Amino acid sequence: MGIAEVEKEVIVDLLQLNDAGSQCDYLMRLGMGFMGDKDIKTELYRIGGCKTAIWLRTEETKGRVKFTGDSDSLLVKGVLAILDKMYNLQYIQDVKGHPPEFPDYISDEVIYPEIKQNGILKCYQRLAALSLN
Amino acid sequence: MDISRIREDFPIFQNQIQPFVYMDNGATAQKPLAVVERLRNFYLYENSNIHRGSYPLSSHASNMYEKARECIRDWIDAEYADEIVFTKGSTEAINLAACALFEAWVRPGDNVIVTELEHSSNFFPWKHWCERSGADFRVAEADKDGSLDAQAVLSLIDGRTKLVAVTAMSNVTGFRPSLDIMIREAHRQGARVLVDASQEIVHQTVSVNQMECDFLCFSGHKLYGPMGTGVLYGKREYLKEMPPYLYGGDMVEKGDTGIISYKTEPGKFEAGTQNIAGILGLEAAITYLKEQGFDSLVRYEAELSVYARKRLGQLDGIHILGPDIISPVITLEAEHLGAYDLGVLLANRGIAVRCGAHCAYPLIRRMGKESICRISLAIYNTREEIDYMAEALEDILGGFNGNCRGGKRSDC
Repeated sequence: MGIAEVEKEVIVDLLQLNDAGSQCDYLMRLGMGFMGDKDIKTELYRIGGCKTAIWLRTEETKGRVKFTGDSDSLLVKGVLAILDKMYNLQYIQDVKGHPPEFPDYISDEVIYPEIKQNGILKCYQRLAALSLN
Repeated sequence: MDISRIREDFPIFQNQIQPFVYMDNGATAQKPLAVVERLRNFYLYENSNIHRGSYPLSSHASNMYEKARECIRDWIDAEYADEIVFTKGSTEAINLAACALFEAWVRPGDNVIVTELEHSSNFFPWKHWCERSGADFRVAEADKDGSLDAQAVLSLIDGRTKLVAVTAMSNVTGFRPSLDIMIREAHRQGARVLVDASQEIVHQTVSVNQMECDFLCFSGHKLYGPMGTGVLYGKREYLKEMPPYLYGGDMVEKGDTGIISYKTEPGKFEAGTQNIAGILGLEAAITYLKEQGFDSLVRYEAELSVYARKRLGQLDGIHILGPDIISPVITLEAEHLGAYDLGVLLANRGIAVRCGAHCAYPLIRRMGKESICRISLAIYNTREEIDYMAEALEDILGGFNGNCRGGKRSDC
């Protein structure tokens, strides 16, 4: 499935969740199923932000984006799970052409605006900054 | 103590339609009506600048302002009113002290000591000025549980120590270091001591006279007063030697060309127009606490703290962090969930706590954490609120076995 199709499904899911509590359930379920990567929990891979820690290791492989991520927050791991479904192993130019829109459908009471800006958006920017070798 | 009567004095609790359990008092406290009305009345009926006009309204404002200064002097048991400098808060108070102290006394090769317990506001100003001046910035290491052995500070003090800056109460764990031992040794070696009382002054009677500190600071907004207010206490003989921090209006005695003389303390440190209404609001907050009986409020908070620690400590999957002490500041972590998650899930239930690094990065690192969840109690919190929080945590964690429950608000 392409990036847009995956994101469309996620947005449909989010639109069906009427309140912050339900969205928390949804993201935490995704977060519990997300593998994470203990080895990248170092300053080298850390994305800035105070409220929660996010780590992301990215690489380009045969023209595609490859990354692992982790967080000390289960809710944010749920968001990382969505980023993983959307972008992992997709072509770099496709990733560059499709910034995420799904965070707009997550309540600010669930993922605070500063985490969306300083965490999630920065994760995407790191992916989009990969270039072909 | 009739807690319901206290709660009635705080309008914010009367204006909620959803459950509202406010336990982030370490960040800022709610305000009694008396404080809100004092601000309102100043702007409605008394607004005038101080130390400038020669008309009754200005004289009145000046008199009220100095009366507030005397109120603070009495509150912290300082000897003279001119040892009280009004600031925007503890952060400005410490920056003022750091800037002036370094100019007056600190030379390359001297050292300043802080601890890993410190809030950023009592850590980074000293670091900055040490780096700028060639002085040695020494940091006393905390223990992994968030406590601090006084020896960690004592071992760093020597003949070139100019200042020890230390908190009276950690904003993360509520731990209170042994200030008397540190102050005694610092003075023995000729060093001065600044105590950050931002948290402590809310929960204990503070006497600079008994403490024998040389400087002390606190923020008004944590003491049920307005934001944008604070105090730097400094011993008269030290304030006299310290140069001004801000330059401008109302701090110059004589400004003729060639010869400029500044006001004496505290005026020389209060350039520009102060937050006059705010200072009067701070006075109103202290007056309110005195009228309620501050000692009985302190006792009530202590009882509540014991109850909270016991109630929360019994919950499966919850670990209370820090040393085993009685404190209205309690930090905890949950199994499976990050601090941020806890904060969001509690907020969904109308419970306000703080989660993060609490502007105490060295301490959080020392404790081996990325971020932690903090509950900080105040005089208007209740046992029922603690029970509600405990039930919320049980619900959050109990529904966790592969069956997440974000939860919704329910009646408290």
